[in-house]
Order: sequence, then structure tokens, then C-alpha cells
Amino acid sequence: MNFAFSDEQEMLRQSARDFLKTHSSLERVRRMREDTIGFSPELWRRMAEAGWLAAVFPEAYGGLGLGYVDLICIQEELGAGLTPEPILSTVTLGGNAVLFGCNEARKQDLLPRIGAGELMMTLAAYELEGRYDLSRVETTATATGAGFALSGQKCFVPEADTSDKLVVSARVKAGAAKGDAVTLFLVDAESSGLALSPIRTVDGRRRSQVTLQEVEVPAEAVLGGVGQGLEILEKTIDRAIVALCAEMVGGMQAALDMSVAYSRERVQFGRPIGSFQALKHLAANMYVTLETARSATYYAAMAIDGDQPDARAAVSCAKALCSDGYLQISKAAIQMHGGIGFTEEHDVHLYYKRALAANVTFGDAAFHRDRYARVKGF
Amino acid sequence: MDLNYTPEEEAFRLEARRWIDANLAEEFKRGADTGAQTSKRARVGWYKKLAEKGWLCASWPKEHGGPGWTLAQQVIFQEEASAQGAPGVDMGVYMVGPLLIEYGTEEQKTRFLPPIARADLLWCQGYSEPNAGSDLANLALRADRDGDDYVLNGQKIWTSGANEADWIFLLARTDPHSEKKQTGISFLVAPMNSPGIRIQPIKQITGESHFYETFFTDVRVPVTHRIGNENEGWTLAKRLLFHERVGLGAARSFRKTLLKLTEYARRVRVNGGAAIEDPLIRSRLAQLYIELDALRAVDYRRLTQLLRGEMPGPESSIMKLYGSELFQRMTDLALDILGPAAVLWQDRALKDLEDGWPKMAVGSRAWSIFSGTNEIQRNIIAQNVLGMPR
Repeated sequence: MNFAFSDEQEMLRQSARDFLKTHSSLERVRRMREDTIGFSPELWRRMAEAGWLAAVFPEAYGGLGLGYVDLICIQEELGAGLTPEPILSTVTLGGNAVLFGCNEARKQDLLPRIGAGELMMTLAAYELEGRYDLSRVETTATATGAGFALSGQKCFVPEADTSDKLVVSARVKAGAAKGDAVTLFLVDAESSGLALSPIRTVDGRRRSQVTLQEVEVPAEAVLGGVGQGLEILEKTIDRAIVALCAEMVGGMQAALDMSVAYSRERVQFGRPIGSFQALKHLAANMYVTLETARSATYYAAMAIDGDQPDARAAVSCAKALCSDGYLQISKAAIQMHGGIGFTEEHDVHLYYKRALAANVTFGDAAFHRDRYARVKGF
Repeated sequence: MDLNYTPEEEAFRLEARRWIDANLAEEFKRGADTGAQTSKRARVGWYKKLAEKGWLCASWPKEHGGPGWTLAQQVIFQEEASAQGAPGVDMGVYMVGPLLIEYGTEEQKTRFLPPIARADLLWCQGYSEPNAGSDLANLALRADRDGDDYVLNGQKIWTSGANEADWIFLLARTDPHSEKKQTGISFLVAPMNSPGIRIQPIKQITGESHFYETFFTDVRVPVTHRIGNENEGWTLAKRLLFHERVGLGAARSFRKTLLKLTEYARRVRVNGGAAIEDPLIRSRLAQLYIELDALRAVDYRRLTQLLRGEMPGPESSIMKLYGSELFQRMTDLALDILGPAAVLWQDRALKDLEDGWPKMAVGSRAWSIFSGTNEIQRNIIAQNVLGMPR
């Protein structure tokens, strides 16, 4: 019975922490919000060198064969620093879709390149009408002679404008019953008919509306088989959720730390404001929220690695708690800072902005409560 | 990260499970689900069986009657016993015994440890007073020195099991003029049949009387029944206050309650369908499961620390705080499902409809108060864990 990290995992965590201390800062994060590509290729290269991008891929594909319990050690620290480098989209979305959907040759080709930091990918699965429901897909894939032509609109696709390839979900027979024939396609970013409209986002991360107009893809572009999209998507997104939750846990911790530190320094009425019980209780509530969300996240990572039957429920449990928790904590963090928390200049709002975006990524708390109930059979 | 125990530990688990199944009275196995009060006779019967087997004092060193179990075995036994509905062991076993082993004189160890280990002595705890609840150090029960005795005057409150206990362990003020209140307190033990001790039940809002007021009028307690040094009782008490009310035991019973609530939600009709089909009720129910899963994950972290022999961290405070309020939200949902029938109170005719929820909801109010109020827990977290200024 050991629900704790190994020494190697703790070292991984420490190395991520050291990396950030050397290479990133909230000031850099702010600059990245206005940057042309939104992350640093130099840092991405360093992350690749550190093995982080290949961490969860099997060794057969140039990976380190580690699990999500290992990945979250890195993700948590990156989340504390609000680091924008797109491990989430390229590795856990694109990489996992390839890992679970592509044939051997494709995996041998793409995964090592992702791990080496040479290939950027993302997933374009969600649509405005469908909200968080991956099966509600109106994008169509019409059979052509050589393959398929994809038409439709995907929304809020992370890092679409910096990706080399996108995994796109489409319905093979337009008008088929909901859930049937959702299929995944590997699409080159350069494809004719593919248009991206980057949007302005609350957390400064890069997202785009992606429009497909008769985008032609060869038959080999199908991941898995026709109609197998949902299965691949669920496995992929479950893992991305774990990685995102870990990032959120790191952010929650940082916001709490910032708030407690402020409460010790800020003096009003002749005493540090942290000595007032209202703030103590606010901070204590933040702490309990953080530790319960953290514990649930660690459990979800362990369940995913162990392929446990309760893994899907554990993932929804973690996301529900992190979604609500990061919002609660980041709002309370602003509150603890008083007026200064409402300034652009102070850093605390950056966590709130991230919480707002992370909340609605891969399903909010309400969606995951519902998914949990469905998975558990009530 | 691995929740599994070793094959040897699992073999022990099976042995424990079988033995408990063979020796635990039916009264407990049945009562496990109804939460009904069990008789002293049945409880002592169980303790005596454990004592005979040498398994009663699970955490004691072997030389004092412990079975020599590893921490993992102690945890496993506790899990198995609790799963089958076994009552928790007496405070003599998990509070007084360990305290005596650490702080007692040889005479005290010889006098008390063997009868505790034989389940011959049941204990109750005399800490809180009407003016000393959260502020326990404010306690006023006097223990004035007179020759070889202390003479006790004052009262204790919330003494659970005072009516069944043979002995009481208590905190009393031996120095009313100490600079700090904490340094004027001593730790004493006394037989409940001492002349001058009188108990009075406290009726709770649930209608039951599990707790008592205990009055002391000129009660003589030999100085040799003081554990540790005079005026150093507070230190001893602090060591015992680590006792967890919300460990795996409480989390397990919350889960049983939640399963019962789910069954209830399937049974009761709301707006033309089962309550569980109502999206709001279903969402609240899912959230309760989610929070309970999180509580369990926190407990795994606590357990891991415990098994490593590490000093307990903040997990117990987190669990008490989170668990108590989770339980209250559970009963709140039950009342919402009950709807208009929430006006019932132990009505016999409408027993199935009421299903015990109103009483459980009223009883749930205690959870945020006992074992350290949730406000105190929050202060402790803020100050001791987060380092916020006092």
C-alpha cells in the first residue's frame, strides 16, 4: 500500500521545478500571450531533450515508457508556472490519438518525431453545438474515390495554428444516428480547404476556429477504422484530462501559496491581514479543496496507468473537482489580495484566467458529474 | 504508486476476515447497516474474544500484550473488522494503554495494562467542560492536593459511555495560578464508582442520550493515579488528541450511507419519475460520490504515511473537515428527495417513506462540532499547515 510518488518521480518533479526556475517566469508567460506562436521553440526543444515529450510513449516508439503518474509530476510544476508550451495538445491529444489509432508504420513515423519536439499536433474534435459531447459531430466525411472529403467547423482547437497535423473527428455518413460512424482523420495543416481563425482567449493560450471545406484526405488518413473514432477519442481525452488536472493542481497550489504569502506581508489595522480569521478560513477552505482535488488527480493517474475498471470514473471525478476547485481557489486568491488582486499588473489574476479556460476544456464539472453517473450506472 | 498489500499481508487479511466472521456476534453484522446501538454485554463479549486471541491491543508492544503486528497488519485488521460491523475497541486500548506505556510508572503499567488487555476495564474520557469546549485549556475541574490524594471538584461534559465505563481518564487543574492555563493541568485516572462521582445523561436533539455530564464532589484520587508529572497533563492530552474520528472507518460508513441514499433515490417518486432520474438530484448524487472518492484518495495518502511510520500530517484534519460537511450534504440531499415527507419524525406507519433520513440529518449536525469544531480545524490548517499569522 503506497499511494505516494517514488524517488525517481520526486526527482522528475524537482527537475521540472528547477527547469522552470531557470527558463520560465510569469513575466515570460505574460509575453507569450502576445507572442506570434504563443510558446518558446527553444524551451520546447529543451523539454524534448529532457525526455518530457516522449515520457508516456512506449519505448518501441522512442518513448520512455513512463506512465501518467510520472507525467503529472512534470505537469503539476508546469501548471504552477502557467507554462504555455503545448504538452497537452501535441503529446496527450495528438500523440495519444496516434498511439491508440494509427497503424504500426504511422506510429513508428510520428511518435518519435513528437518525442523529439519535431512535430506539433492537436485534436479538433469539439463543435459548438455539441459542447462537450464528442459524439455530437456535424462535420461530415464524404467518401471520394481516393479517400474522404471533410467539411465542417471545429471550435476552440488548441494550438491549431502551430500544429503540423490535426486529428479531426467527422461523421462518415451524414445524418447517421448520434454516435455512429464518428471517425478520426489525420489531416495535414497545409491541406487545401482547411482554414484557421485564431481567437482571442481569456488565458492567452492559442486556440482557433477550424473550418474544413471539402478537405481531401486519403483513405489511409483514417485512425483505426471507420466508426472507431469515439473509442479512440475517449481513451485519448481521458489521458489529456489527467494531464490537465495535474496542471490545474499546480496552478491551484501556486495561487494558494501566493495568497498566503500576501496575507503574511500585507498589514492593515496594525496587523498582517492573515491574522484575521475570515482570511484564515478562506485559505483553509482553499487548502482542503486543493488537497482533495490533488488526491483525486493522483488516483486518476494511477487508475489510468493500471488500466483499472474504475479509471473513467476516476478521471471524471478528478476533472469535476479540479474544474470547480481551480475556479474556487483562483477566485478566493483574488479576494485575499484585495484591490491589488484586481489589477492587471499583479499576477494573481493569471491563475483565475487559466481556471476559467481549463474549466471548460474537456468538459466542465457538471458534464463530468453526468459522465461519472453514467459510467457508474445511475 | 500501488494500493496493493504484499501476498503475506493479504494472507493475513484472509485469516483476519475468517476469524472475525466466525467470532463476531450477529448483532454487529446486522447492525452494521442499521447503525443501531449495540449492548455493552455484546461489545465486551467481542472484546473478550479478541483478548483471548491476543488481538485486542493491536498497537501495543509485545511485552505488554500486543500481538506484535506490523503497521500494515494493524490497518488490515481494522479494515476487516470495520467492514463486518465490529464495534471499535475501548478507549482503554487505544488511548489509556499507549499513554501508560509511554508515560506510566512501572506500578501503573502493572496495575492497569493487564486488565485493559483482558477487556476487564472499560474507560470513558473526561476532557470537555461546560466552559471548556474548543478552549479545552480553560478547564476548571479542580484537583487539590491533600496528603497522598487529589480532591476533585467540578464537572465534565460530553462524557460518552460514562454509564458503562469502569474508569475515567481526565484532565484536571492542579495549579490554578499557573502563568499559562495549559501548564496547570494534570492527567488523572479514577474509578467511576468513586464516592462523589455522579453522572447525568444529556438528551441530544436526535432524542438519544449517548453523552453524560459527570459531576465530581470531593472525589479522592490517589496521587499514584496521576499519569506523567504534575502540571504536565496538557502534553499528554495533546498526544491523544490525534485520535481520528474520520479515518477509513467513517469514510466507509459514509459510503454505506450514500449507497442507501442511492437506493432511496431509485425508490422514491419525484415529478413522475424516480428521484434519481431528476437531473438535479442525479447531479448532486454524483457530486457526493465524487467527493467521497476524493476523501478515500486523501485517506490513501494518510494511510501511506502511517504505514511508513511517519508523523501524521494534515490529512486527518482535512478528512474531518471535508468528511463531516460531506456527510451533512448527503443528509441534506436525502431531505430534498424526501420532500414534503421531511416533516416526519420516526413515524411508525410511514417508516419506509421516512427511511431514517430526518433523524440522520438532525444527527449530522454534530459532525461539524465534535472532535474539534470545523472552525477550529480551519484555524489549525491555516496556522499550522499554511503558516498564517496567529
